[in-house]
Amino acid sequence: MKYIIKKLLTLILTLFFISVLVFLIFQVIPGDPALSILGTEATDEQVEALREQLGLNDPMPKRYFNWLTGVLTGDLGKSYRYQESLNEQMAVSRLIAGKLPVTLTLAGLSLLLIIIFSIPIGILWGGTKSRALDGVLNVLSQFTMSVPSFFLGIIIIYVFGLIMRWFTPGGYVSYREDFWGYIRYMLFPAITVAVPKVAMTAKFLRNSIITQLKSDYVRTAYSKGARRFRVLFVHVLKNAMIPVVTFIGIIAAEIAAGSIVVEQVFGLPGIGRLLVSSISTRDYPVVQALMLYIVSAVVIVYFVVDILYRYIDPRVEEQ
Amino acid sequence: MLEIEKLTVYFGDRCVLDDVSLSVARGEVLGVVGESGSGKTMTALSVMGLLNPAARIEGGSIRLDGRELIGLDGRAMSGIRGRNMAMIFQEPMTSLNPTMRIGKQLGEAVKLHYENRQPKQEIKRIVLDALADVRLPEPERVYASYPHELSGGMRQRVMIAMGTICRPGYLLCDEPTTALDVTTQKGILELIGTLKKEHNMGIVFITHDLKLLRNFADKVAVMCRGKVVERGTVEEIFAAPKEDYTKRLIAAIPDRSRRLAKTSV
Repeated sequence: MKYIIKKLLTLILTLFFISVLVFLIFQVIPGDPALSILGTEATDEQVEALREQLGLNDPMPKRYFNWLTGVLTGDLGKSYRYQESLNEQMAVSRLIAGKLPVTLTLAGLSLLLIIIFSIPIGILWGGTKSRALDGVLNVLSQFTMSVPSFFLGIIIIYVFGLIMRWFTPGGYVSYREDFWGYIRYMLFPAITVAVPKVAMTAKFLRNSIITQLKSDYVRTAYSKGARRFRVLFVHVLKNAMIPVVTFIGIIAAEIAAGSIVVEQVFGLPGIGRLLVSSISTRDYPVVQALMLYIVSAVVIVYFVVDILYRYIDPRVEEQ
Repeated sequence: MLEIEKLTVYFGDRCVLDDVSLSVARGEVLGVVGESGSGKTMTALSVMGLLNPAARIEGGSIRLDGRELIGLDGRAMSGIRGRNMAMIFQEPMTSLNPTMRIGKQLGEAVKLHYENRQPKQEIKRIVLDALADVRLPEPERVYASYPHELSGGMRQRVMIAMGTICRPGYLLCDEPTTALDVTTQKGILELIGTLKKEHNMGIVFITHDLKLLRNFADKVAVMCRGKVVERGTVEEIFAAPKEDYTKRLIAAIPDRSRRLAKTSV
């Protein structure tokens, strides 16, 4: 419990620093938000009036405080480019709220597939004595790891979409309209994200198991009469999983940030595509909000990994 | 009797054990001494059937109370390991599973060798008895501990408890005191001696430290480069070493303890 509280405080502190950093970066970037909203034909008076209205003339600490209060209450400012109606800029929070569930579903489904497949494959691979099986899995993993994701996406669309007709390529449906249709469609981009990561994670687990099998406590387990299957599942697996949890954590953080390529290939309205378009149109409030999301997602995933560690490795507490 | 007869083991095309013959009876302590790489550990691992897969037994015989062990399949060997004979290793720090509580690790040794399923309470009682048997204070606390929460000496006691929990006839000790400080060493040695008497076990005690065997071993075999080069009682070895190698091993003992060794003979 003490450990969790300690980690939680670290998390809050880290998130605070991130918010300062993200805020500062967008203060330093050149360009006047008021000018970019109004356009170049605006008069100086109009610009000055908007600056006052947006609070841009306030001192920096006050602006940071206002911004942070906004973030914490769900107000992320307004987009420069996206319009709600003719005279109304769209709120960034609304913009992101529409896209974030897609990215989170993709990340969640991918992570689920990675865990479901990589762990049994890794155990089989690390535990087998068959050189033939080891060789086959090695070739297979090398191959899947080296295929770029856009190409894998195209193959999956071709095979499952066009030949098998298990889904309609480009036929994304929102979860609001048809939840199961949405999940069914999302499964295929999730497979695209997961395949190379399954290969990596399985290989990582295999190496970890092989290292653990050489350790002294394994010899002890054999010497008291345990057999291979028992040694593998009762003794080795838990120890071998310790580094794998970190590895899966790194992958989870990566996919939580959104896969731009896979979103593009499957035509998903996720934050990856929003990020690209808002950077190219210099829609700073959107970029800022997305940056805040991505960095926070990474930090929160690592926090979860730290907590999981505590349950797998009893030695963690005293370190 | 645990009898090793003309055991020859190859590692690739290198001969690591050459015609090794040793025997120990129940209630007896056989000291095996030699420098590292002399084949002491290899001999013990051959008996346990825990040799590295790259090593091959080329000839000889290992008999446990008359039963030939060489050529037994994995299932039969694992039935014998821990039950009829057990082994204790050099490194108490790494020999226990770091992510499993001590009680569970000992309980596993019990579960593996009882044909009928024992109720949990019964297994716990056996484990607590075994922990008390190796003179660990607060067995209940040790039972619930993880290995990293115990000192080196305590862990080695746990290893001994695990080795003896099924009351095996023979206990192979591979340098069980080398990684420990001198005071702790003495305690572990005494404990092994006491358990030997209490349970009438045959002990094979492997060490590079000849002086440890004084007042402890009934007989000694000196190993060098995979061969037994000299054997006899401790007194014989100390008083009249025949081989140069043995003389060098005795010379390696610091002066004071050597004098003590001589006077005590």
